[in-house]
Amino acid sequence: MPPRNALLRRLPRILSTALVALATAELAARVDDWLTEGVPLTENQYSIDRIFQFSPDGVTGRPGARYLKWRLNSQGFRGPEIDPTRPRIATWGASETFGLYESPDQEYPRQLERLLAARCPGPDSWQVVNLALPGSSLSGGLKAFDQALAAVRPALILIYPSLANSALNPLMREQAEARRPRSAAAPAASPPATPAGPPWPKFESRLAGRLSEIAKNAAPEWLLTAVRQVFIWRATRQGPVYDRIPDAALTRFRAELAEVVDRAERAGVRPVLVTHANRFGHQIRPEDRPQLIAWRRFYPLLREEGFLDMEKRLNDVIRHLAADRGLILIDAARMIPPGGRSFVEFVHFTDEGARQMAQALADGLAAQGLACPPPAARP
Amino acid sequence: MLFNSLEFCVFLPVVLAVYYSLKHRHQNIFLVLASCYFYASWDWRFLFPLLFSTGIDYFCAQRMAESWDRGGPAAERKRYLLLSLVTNLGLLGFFKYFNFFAASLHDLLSILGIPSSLRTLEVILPVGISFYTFQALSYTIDVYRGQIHATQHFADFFLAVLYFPHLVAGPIQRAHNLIQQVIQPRRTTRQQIIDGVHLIVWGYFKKVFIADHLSPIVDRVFSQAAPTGGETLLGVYAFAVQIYCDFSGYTDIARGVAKLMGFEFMLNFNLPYFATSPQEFWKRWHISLSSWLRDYLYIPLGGNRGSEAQTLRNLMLTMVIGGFWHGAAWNFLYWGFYHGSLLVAHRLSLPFQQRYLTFTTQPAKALWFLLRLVVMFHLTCYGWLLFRATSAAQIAHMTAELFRAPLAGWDAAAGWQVLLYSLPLALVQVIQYATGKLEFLNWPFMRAELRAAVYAVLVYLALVRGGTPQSFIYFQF
Repeated sequence: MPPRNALLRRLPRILSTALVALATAELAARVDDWLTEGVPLTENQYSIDRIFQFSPDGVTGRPGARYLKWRLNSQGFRGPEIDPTRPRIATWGASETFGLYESPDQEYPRQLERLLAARCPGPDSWQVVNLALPGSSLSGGLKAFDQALAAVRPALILIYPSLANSALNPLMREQAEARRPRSAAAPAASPPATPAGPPWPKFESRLAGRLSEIAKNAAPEWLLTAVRQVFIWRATRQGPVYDRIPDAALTRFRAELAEVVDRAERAGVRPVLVTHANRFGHQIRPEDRPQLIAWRRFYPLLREEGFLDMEKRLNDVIRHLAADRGLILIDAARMIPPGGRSFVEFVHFTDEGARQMAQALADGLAAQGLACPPPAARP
Repeated sequence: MLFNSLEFCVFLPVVLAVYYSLKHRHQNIFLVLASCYFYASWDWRFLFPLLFSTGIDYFCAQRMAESWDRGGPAAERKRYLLLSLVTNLGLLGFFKYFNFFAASLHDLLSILGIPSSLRTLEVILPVGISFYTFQALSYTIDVYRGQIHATQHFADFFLAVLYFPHLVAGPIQRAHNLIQQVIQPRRTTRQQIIDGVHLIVWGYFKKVFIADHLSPIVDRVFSQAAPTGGETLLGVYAFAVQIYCDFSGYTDIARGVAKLMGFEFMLNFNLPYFATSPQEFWKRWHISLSSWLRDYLYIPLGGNRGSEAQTLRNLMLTMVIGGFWHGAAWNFLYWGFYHGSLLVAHRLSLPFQQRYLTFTTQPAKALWFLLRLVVMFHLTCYGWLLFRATSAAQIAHMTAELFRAPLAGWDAAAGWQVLLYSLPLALVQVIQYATGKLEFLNWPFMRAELRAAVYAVLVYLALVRGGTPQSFIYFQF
C-alpha cells in the first residue's frame, strides 16, 4: 500500500483520469445512439418517454418518434402509416397492446393484420391501427380517445384495457393525495409562479441508463425479487394495503368502460370487448410467484393474491357489460394459455403469446363474419 | 462459473477482499477453498476426480522426495511416478477418451463385419480435466527428475493445481514456477494491480466483443452440410479470429486475476498470427501447452538428439498427441497430424531456404517477411478448418470447395462484419508487434488519461455491445 501522503499527491491525477474515463464512456454511449438510432449527441433525454407527448389532454404518441425498436407513424401511432383506402380496425389498450417485449412487427396488432389478410386476401383486407400507449388506463386513455378515433376513423375498435392500470392507478393516486400534507393538497388561491429552472439543460446520463439496464438483465431472479420486496415494503409502510380491490373500483371500472363504449358508438365505431389475459391463469404456481411480486412492484397497495382476484372480477365486468349491451366479446382470458411461453412476465406477451392473442382475435372476428371488412366498413 | 458471468463478477471481488485481509498461510488455504467452490459451481461431482488425482499426486511426490532425501533407488521413485501417471492419465483416458475409442472400435468392427456389443458410457467430461492433468503431471515429473523439491504443505500443492484462474483452461503452469510463488509470501504491487486490470479489460473485450460476435458467423458456416467456397473462407477467417480472441481473452483474464493476487502466470500467446513459420507459430500459440509438450514429450522421446528421421518422427508424434489432447475426435487428430506435417516440411525445407531464400536488401527482406506471414496465416487457417469441422466429410467438402471456387457465395456483409470486429485486434497487435511491448496499451506514447479513455470505450463496447454470451471454446478440452 502506498503511504497516505503519496496517495494524496496522486489524487488529482487519479480523479482526472477517472473523469476522462467516465466522460469518454458517456460519449461512447451517445455516439452509439447516434450511429444506431440517429439520436443527436446533445439530446439529453433518451428513454421511451421521448416517443410520447404529455399535455393536459392526456398522453399521446409523438408523431414520427422512434426509440430503440419502437417506431411511431406520422400520426403518433405504433406501426406503419395509415392507408386511407383500406378499412381499419383499431386496437386500444395499454402496453400489452402497444407491445413491449415482442420482436419488431410481432406485437399482436401487426400479427392480427397479417392473419386477417391471410383469411381475406386482396386490397380490401383490414388494416389494423395500434392506438395503444404504455401505462394507459381507461380514464387516462379516454382523454385522447375521441381525437384518435377522428384521426383513424376505424370501423371496429378492439378494447383490451389494462385492468391493473385502470383499477389500481386511481386508488394509488387517492392514497398519494391522502398522504400529502394538507397545505400542499389544498388548492392554491392563485396559480403558483413557475419555478425557475436551472439556466442549463437537465443532464441525464445515457451511460447510467445502459448500466442500470445491464445490471437488471444480469441480476439473478432472487435478487430482483428481494429488491422488489424491499420496494413494496417501503411503499406500503404508510397507507392501507388491500387484500382485494374494493367494490367501488369495480363500479368505477364499469362506468369508465361503458363510457369508452359509448364514445366509440357515438363516433360510429363498433366496439369489441376483449377480456384480459395474464401469465398466472387461475392459480399461482410456485415458479410464477417472483413474477407476481414483479407485478405488485408497480401497484404495491394490492397484495399478491389480490391480483388474480382483480383480474377475475374485472374480466367478469367486461363479460357482463358485453352481454348487457349486446357487444362482441372475445374472451382472451380463457383462450391464451398461461405460463412463460405466452408471457414474458406478468401480462406482456412473448412473440408466441402475441401470436396466440392475434389468433384468438382473428377467430373471434371471423365467428362474427368480420374476417373480411363488410361493405359498410370501407372508407 | 464462467469468467464472463455475473456470478464471477461477484465471486472475484469477494475473493479479493477476503484474500487481502488474510496472512500468507491462510491466503493459500482460502484460495484452495475458493477454487473448489469455483470448480464445483459447474458440477460438484467434478470435484471428486480432481481431488482424488491431486491427492495421489501429493502422496507420490512426498514419497519421491523422501526417496531423494535418503538416496533411495531410482526404481522406487519410478514406481511412484508410474502411479501418478496411471492415475492422471487413467482418469483423463476414462473421462475423455473411453467413448471415442469404444465408438471407433465399434465402427471398425462393423466395417469388418464383426458383430460387437461395445457400448459408450454416459459420462460427463469434467471441465478442464486436460489442463489440470498436465499441470499436476508437470509437478510429479519434476519431482521425479529432482528438478524441484516436493512441497510439504498439502494446501500449497493443492493451490498450485487448483488455483481457479488457471484451473479450467490454463495457462498450464510449470510446477517450478507456480510452486515457488505459492510457497513464498506474496505482495501485490501497484504495478501488478495496474497490469492485472489492463489484462482483464483487454481479455474481456477480446472475448465478449470480438469472439462472441464472430461466433454466430462461424456457427452458421460450420452448421451447413455443404457450404460454398466463399462461405468456407469466411467461416475459417472468422474462426481464426474467434478462437484466438476467445482463448487469449480467457488467458488474459486469468493472468490479470492472478496478478491481482500477486501471482505471475506465464505468457500463453505472443502475437501468434505474426508467425512466419510453423516452428515460430508454436512458439507463439498456446505457449504453455507447446512448451509442456516439448519438455515432457518431445525431449523425452529423443527430441532432435537422434537422426533426422527420428527427429521428424518425434515432431510428428508430439503434434499428433498434442492434437489429440484437445479432444477425443478424429478432427483433432487430423489437426495435430497437419501441424506435425507442417513442422516436418518446414524442417526439411530449412537448408533450401537458407541457401536460396536469404535476402540482403531491406525491401526484399520485408517482402519475404510479408509473404511468409500471409502464407503462414493461411496455413494456420486451414488448420482451423480441420479443428472446427464436425466430420471428415465436411472437411473433404470444404477443402474441395476452397480449391474449386474459393470466392463462390462470399457474403460481403458478413465479410465486413468479420473485418470490423477484427480491426481493434489488428490495430493493437500491429502496435504491439512494432513496439515489441506486449503489455496492452502500455506504450510510451500513451498518457494515463488517453489510456483511461481507450479503456472506457473498450469496457463500454464489451458491456453494452458485446455479442451473445458464449462459453469459452477451450473449456470443452
